[in-house]
Amino acid sequence: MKVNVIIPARLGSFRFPNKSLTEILGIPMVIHVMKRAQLCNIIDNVYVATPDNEIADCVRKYGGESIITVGECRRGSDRVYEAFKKVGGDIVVNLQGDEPLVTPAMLKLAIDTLQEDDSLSCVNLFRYISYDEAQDKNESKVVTNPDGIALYYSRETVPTTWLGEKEIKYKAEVAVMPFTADSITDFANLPMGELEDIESNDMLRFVEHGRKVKIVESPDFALSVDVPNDIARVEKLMQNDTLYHEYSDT
Amino acid sequence: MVIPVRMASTRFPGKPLKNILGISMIEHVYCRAALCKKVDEILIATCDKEIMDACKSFGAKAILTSIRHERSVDRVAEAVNNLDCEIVINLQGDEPLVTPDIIETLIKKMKEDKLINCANLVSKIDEEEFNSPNTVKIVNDLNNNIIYFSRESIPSKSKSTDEEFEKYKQIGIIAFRKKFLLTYTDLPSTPLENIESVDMLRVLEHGFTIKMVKVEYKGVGVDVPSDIPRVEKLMANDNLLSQYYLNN
Repeated sequence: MKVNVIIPARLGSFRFPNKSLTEILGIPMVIHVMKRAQLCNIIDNVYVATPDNEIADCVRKYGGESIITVGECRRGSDRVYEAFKKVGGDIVVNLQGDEPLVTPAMLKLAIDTLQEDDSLSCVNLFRYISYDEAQDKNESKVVTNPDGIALYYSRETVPTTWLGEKEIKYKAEVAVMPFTADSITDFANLPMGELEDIESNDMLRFVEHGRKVKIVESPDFALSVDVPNDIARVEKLMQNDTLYHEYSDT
Repeated sequence: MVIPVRMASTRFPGKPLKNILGISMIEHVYCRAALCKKVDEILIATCDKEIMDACKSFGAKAILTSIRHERSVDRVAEAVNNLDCEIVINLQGDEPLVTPDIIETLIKKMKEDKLINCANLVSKIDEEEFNSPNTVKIVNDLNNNIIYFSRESIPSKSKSTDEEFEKYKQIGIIAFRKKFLLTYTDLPSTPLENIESVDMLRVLEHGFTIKMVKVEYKGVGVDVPSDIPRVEKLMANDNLLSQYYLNN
């Protein structure tokens, strides 16, 4: 059983130019993600998939492996597929380059959950967020059935607070997404979904084609970086984080 | 066909008996449904004596059901439990602009595709309805199955490059195979069903599918008192009204 992690990363982002290479405590964000994934002992290899030479050079400088992608990638998972075709693996994890607080326990839980049930195409982690946090359109909220199978993902606050109920806990998607070799191939060959495009969410392609995606609660707190303001919050959290010290000193 | 109605409504108490152009809302719904030739029998299911009396006055068959039902689909299930029928249409009592054509479209779909357990009519909506929490919006997969219902404005406009995508609402007209309706009513109610206050989410949360059937429909459901003048205006220009009102 070979498990590969592929981190799709680009320089271009209108809201946050150069996001992947932004330094957090002196180390570029994408390198944090790579180093932290390498600490997970069930993972064989970690790659950064990118169309940008600048990112590839940076990865090399920190002793990592990158794969240059050339195709027109509709979504992050399509870029992961392009890289997967070169490196293979039985399980391939799409790990977003903007999750600098990812932990080995998070990766392990997502991978184990996928392997326990062969009817699943993919697994996502989530963390509970408050009503106020759920107002942020950068966060994809997910609604599931009682077994944790995803029904829908939206930038809106689903489920509703129509009845004035603000005590509802919302589930925010955490972008740690393991696929099997078959399911990543399936993903890349499916036409883009309409809702996938509108909501800008990879997983909706599976949902719209009737595939099963399971959502499990993240065992650790994670905060994705969407806007420059998030960096300061992440730096504060990372300083008190034991994992950081395992790779920052080397 | 069953029309579930009750007097108690938090946002609009006494709703079914409200006057619209001279007759009660429930009478409009009943008379308009009766214009559909594909429906064998229409039954009004209610827990209120007042509505039973009103039904008698305009000649509709009514059945007294439990006061305990939280969801109208459960009331419909109770009403048809001992009836011999294959397809049950749940027509909400707050859809006074229902037309026989859209009911017929729904029945046709159920007869064509025997694999469908339940089907819900949906129609395109404008910006105003899209943004109203009283309107239940739907999103669907590529096989025309409904995947979620919400009172939020879904799908979200916040990331879309094209704001002109089509938006759909749930119409309160749902067809069930009788067998599946009885399955539904035995299922425990579910978290999203209760949060969104949408009966059909129970179906999705238990892993069953709901087919959507698109129709052109300009009608609006009556949720709050201010909907009544809107309905009256639409109804006054409607060629169905004369088919049942003058005969009264």
